[in-house]
Amino acid sequence: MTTQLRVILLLLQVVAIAVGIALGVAFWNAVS
Amino acid sequence: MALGVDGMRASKVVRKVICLTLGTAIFIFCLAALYESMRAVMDVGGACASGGAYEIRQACPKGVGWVIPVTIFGMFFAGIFTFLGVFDEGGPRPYVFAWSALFLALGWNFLDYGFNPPDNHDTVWGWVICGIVFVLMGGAPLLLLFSPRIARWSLWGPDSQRADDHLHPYKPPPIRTPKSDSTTPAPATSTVHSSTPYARASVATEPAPALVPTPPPKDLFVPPPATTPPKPAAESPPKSDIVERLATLADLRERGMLDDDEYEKAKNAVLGEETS
Repeated sequence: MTTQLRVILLLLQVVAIAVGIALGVAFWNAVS
Repeated sequence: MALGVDGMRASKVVRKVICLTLGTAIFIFCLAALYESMRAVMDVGGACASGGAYEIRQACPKGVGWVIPVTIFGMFFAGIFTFLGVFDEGGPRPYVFAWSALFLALGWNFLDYGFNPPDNHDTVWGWVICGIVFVLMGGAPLLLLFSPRIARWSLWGPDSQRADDHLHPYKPPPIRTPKSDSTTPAPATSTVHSSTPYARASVATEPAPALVPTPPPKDLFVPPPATTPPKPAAESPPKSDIVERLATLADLRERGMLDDDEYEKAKNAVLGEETS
């Protein structure tokens, strides 16, 4: 596995965490 | 190399990347919703109920009744999803942090509401203790990250290939062939698990040598000669060797490790070898 792919995967994880938090909070605000 | 992974189709790489990223996003989505719904329950005192035939003292906030179970199961499914997306060859292993993320997030809620309860009550020690337990449960595995090896494995993945792998191609162990019918060595049929392309190439092309000597086939059998050839006469040691040995003896005498008598005897022995 190349270093570039590892870096991309790490960055995608950071993006996924940020998006997950934003959507999760927005979802709760919408249903509550 | 397709899309950065040796021996893996590009479509599979893309599929795994999507699984890995989407799995983490869904897990965090569920965790964030669970975190918020837990806080909503603690806002009303930490216990609530909804439905049923009994009189309800404290109704649950809207959405809590279904959001909490759905997000808990959602986290399990997201974890499996993430696990399917992890590359054996390397890359981050986010499932390593799932346990800690869950317990630290919920533990923070317990501590926050334990020390700052709603309605300006005193500290709620029950929640504080729960918070401490949760933080310990979630934080203990994170201590392993102080090990650089484990931290590297969790975030960067295992090293699938060393920089100098091409200098050390894998050689399969020799395979012993019990059958003696054939003179040709048996081809290597075992599968060698290795992560390096060099290793795979060497295994595929090199037949394993047979260690057991096999007799020639009968039609090609040639009987050995009746008389064995005479052994060549013992060769006298080369002159340079004798000179070297004499120099060594002289050196030993100079150092005092041999006295004169011993030196003479040894010298005569060496010279005697030469004349014989």
